[in-house]
Amino acid sequence: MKRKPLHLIPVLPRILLPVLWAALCTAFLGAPLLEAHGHVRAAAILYAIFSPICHQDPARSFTLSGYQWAVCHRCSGIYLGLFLASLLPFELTALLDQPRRRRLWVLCATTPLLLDVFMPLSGFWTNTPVSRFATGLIFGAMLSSLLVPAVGDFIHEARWKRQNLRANALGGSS
Amino acid sequence: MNQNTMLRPALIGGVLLGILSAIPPLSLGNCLCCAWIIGGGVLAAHLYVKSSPTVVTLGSGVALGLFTGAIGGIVSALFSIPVQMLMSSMLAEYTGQARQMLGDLPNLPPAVRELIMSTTSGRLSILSVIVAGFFDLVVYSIIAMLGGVLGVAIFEKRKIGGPPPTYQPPLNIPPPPPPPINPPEQ
Repeated sequence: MKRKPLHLIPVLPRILLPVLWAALCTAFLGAPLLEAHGHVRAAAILYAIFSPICHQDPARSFTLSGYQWAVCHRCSGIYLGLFLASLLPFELTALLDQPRRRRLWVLCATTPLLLDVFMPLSGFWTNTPVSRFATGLIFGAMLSSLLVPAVGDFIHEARWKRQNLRANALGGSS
Repeated sequence: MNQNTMLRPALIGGVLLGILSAIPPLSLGNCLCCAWIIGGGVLAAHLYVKSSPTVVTLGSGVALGLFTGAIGGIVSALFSIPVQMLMSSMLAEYTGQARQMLGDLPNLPPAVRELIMSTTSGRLSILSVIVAGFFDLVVYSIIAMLGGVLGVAIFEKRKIGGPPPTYQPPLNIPPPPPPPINPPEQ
């Protein structure tokens, strides 16, 4: 299989992923706005969608129009990081081409988040809304930097496989 | 991407994340950055990378994560049915008291009252299970996809375009049999 270089990713993930993350960000920001405007049932549905994947602790969530966001500080950082990094017009090709550098990039972006989660248990560090949001933002941006080329690769491989199947079918019928 | 070899890691990761996300005290792990869902995707990626003779791309991580998340969503939805039935029978007394207290509140908006009453009714409708299952399927697939990509990025140490895997013959081959001894010709 002749592989395309990583920097020549298709346009589709560049559109698909920002739309997906924008929809998620709109959903968690829309919940408090809907509640503030009296659409309690719609807001409750949005809060319920995020409830299995976030603790939604009011003390650990930002507020909008007097109502808490549908996700906590850290989760909102992750989702906003995913969205903002998917808008970047360039790729971290130098980081992602080499497995060793890629692992280092994952480690560098994950360590602050893990330290911010577990350090308060030791009593040496107390996390703040800013630290929770910032570490989530870095982690989300790292995930997005991996995901944009990954989805490009996924689409490319699926297309290549479909073409192969079609060629095989045509070859078999002739 | 090989769907056949992907099935086993996706099943292991998906079933594990589905069960852990459905059992009430354990499901709190998902409050920590969706730990079980991302963990399921990472586990599936680890198993897939370990079993794959060729380099696993990030694109395969996307497919594997989506597959794992979909299995996890279905398992979680199926597992949550007996768990919810058990919980509703255990908490029936408390929810009854709570409903009575809410009914006595004077300034509660009708929409909120209706919503709370319907969510604390203790009945398990097929529609609610299907709707919750659908949302689980979508959300788990998206988040497990992140786990799959993360897992491939962490565990895949081979480089695309690197040397192909060389054939290593097994070391315990028995020695070949001696050549047949032909009788001398007369």
